[in-house]
Amino acid sequence: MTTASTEVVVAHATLLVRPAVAWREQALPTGQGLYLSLYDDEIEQRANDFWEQLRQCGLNWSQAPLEPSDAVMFARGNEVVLARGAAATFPLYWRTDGRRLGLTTALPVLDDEPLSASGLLAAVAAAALNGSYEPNAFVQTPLARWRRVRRASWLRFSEGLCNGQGIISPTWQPRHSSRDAVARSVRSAIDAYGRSQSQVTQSLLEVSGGFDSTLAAAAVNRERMHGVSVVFPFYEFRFEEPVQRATAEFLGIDRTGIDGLDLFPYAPTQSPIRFDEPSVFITGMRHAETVARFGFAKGLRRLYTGHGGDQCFSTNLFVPEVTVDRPPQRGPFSGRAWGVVSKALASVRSSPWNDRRLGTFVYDARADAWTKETFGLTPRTPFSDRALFESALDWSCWCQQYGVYPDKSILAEGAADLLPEAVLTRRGKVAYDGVWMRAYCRNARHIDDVFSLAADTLEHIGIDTRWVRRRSAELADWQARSDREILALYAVATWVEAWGLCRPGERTWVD
Amino acid sequence: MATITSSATPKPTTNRSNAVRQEAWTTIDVDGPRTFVYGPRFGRLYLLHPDQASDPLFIRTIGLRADCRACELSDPVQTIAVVASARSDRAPSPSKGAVKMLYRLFAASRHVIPFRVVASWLPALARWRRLRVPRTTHSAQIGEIVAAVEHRVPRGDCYPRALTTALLCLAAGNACTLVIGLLSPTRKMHAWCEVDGCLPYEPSPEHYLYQPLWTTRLNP
Repeated sequence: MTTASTEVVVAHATLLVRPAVAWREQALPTGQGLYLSLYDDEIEQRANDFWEQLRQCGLNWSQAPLEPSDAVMFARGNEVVLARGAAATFPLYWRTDGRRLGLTTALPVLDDEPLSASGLLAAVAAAALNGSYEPNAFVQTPLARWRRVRRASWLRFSEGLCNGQGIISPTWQPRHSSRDAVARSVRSAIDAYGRSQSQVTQSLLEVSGGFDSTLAAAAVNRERMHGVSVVFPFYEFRFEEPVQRATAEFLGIDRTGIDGLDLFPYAPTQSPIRFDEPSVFITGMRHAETVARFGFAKGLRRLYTGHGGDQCFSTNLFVPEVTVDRPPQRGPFSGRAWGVVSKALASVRSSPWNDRRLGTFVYDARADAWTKETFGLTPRTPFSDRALFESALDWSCWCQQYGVYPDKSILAEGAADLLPEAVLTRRGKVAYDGVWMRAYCRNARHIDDVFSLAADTLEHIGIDTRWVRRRSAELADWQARSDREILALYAVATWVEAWGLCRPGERTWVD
Repeated sequence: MATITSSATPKPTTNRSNAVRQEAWTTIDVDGPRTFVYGPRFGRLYLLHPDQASDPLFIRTIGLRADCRACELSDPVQTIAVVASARSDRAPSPSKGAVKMLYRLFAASRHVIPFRVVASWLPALARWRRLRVPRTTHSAQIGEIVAAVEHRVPRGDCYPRALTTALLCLAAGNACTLVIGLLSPTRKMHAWCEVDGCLPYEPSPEHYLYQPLWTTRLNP
């Protein structure tokens, strides 16, 4: 499916746009503007809305709300301003080269760029503390000269130099609404999402039987929609299959069950997957690959999911994101490597982007660009839409006011007619802890192989691979051990292997 | 749904306060030759090889009785009366000072006194005058009281919640069942209290994820 990237010039900046990303140019009074989105069929409307609001704000772009999944750049005299949404569905990197600014939506790992050991180690820290979420506390990448544009942030460049940066705060204002008003605000946002999908046919839905994925499909055109459900034979999943079946019947779509035992975390993918940066998301890519391949075989073009629903409606958005209870141990790291990891851990913990109200934890889109480029399916969730996120802020605000913890009951009130009885009365969300633990046992050999193949590079950056392999063997033996280090280092090891960087002597390394 | 078989029906044991307590336990296998057992004597979870799990001496040592063993334990809960965020716009019910104090004591006892020992004190504690729970109090009202108490403590937890709920049920004259469950094959455990097929309060429903390992029936 992949086609070539496109080069776009805005003032003194050159942006390389990967095939998955759609873009629209706009002539502004101050220069050229560029709107970027993964959603080809929605970009026209989104770009027009943004430029119109920008015009109404007198080009004061910090007051022009950007859709969280998108990004925008524009010239303002000698300056180039770049803004990336809080739930951006594609990466964005920059580097300066003299007076020119280079930007890209795909990290050029295969170019003859020096690699950064500290960039890779920082990725370990982010993966260990924030799971699969994109590292947002720091801007280092595995390539020494490239910097990541944070989510929910803006950057200003002048003559190739970055001369300003900041956080994109939501334009939402706290308000004291009744519960009914919050439910209406949720419904209005869901309806707006449904209208945005009216042209879509031939779609795939992951029918989990939860509120979120059901709403993602119930609000849209279901012409030629097909459903897939992942089925596990474990105790905690015993109520899932009937709910999934009832949901598919309610939506009026065919549903295919996929055996979850083949899709455990850490299960190897059919072909190597090259993420721009190491990501824990790689542990779930067998699942993502299987679902996307299924959709591709059926000729489907859109993949609806309910990702982000938990973060929006079952999380208190007024408290900062909490990092994991048990951070990685010193165990596998050399003294120097531990120094880098510790510094990165501290920056993750104190990051101002941990404020959930910014929306940076709503949606992790690591696989989206890959899914679109490889299988032609565009993943889409309603929960990264600005309107729905703002209604989630209303809900958290209401819950805070009445001293209760947010849950999906507000979705049941706002969109009861879009949800089957089986979903409205379902017990709750199934914990995947047991699946993860079984995965270490089942995929022990594969995990060990990955660490073995990437051993030279891991040792080069200061990782003791004997420690890592011992720990993964202990987890496979059901021993009660923390898997933080394994998760994070597996992400790095698979990244190293996928990009063919297993021989550290073949590339230049700095820091 | 599997239930306790007749051959494994636990025999009632009488404690000093004349309250009747019935226990049942089971094992949960994990992939490979391992099995989980909960030992109520020390309040600990054990991952064992099957031959160890059937060793009578070991079973007795960890506080289990062979005649109380069931092939499988079913979760007695059918419904939940009160779930935190499903409550309406009104402010939480006022909590009873004595209940709040006991909730905190139960929480503090967690690492010192085994769960079964604290549970065995509940019938006697339920007769404490300051609790003053009317006999007509139903599950939802008990749930509201527990929810109100948890609203006023820094961090709610299933351990004191289950014990407090059982205490209030007994004070209201209702028999109840305390359940210890496991999210197998992890070591994550959960405690909850059932009365007449109902779980009076959970902040968010999660008991159903946990496979019952050990239950004790408490009568007023």
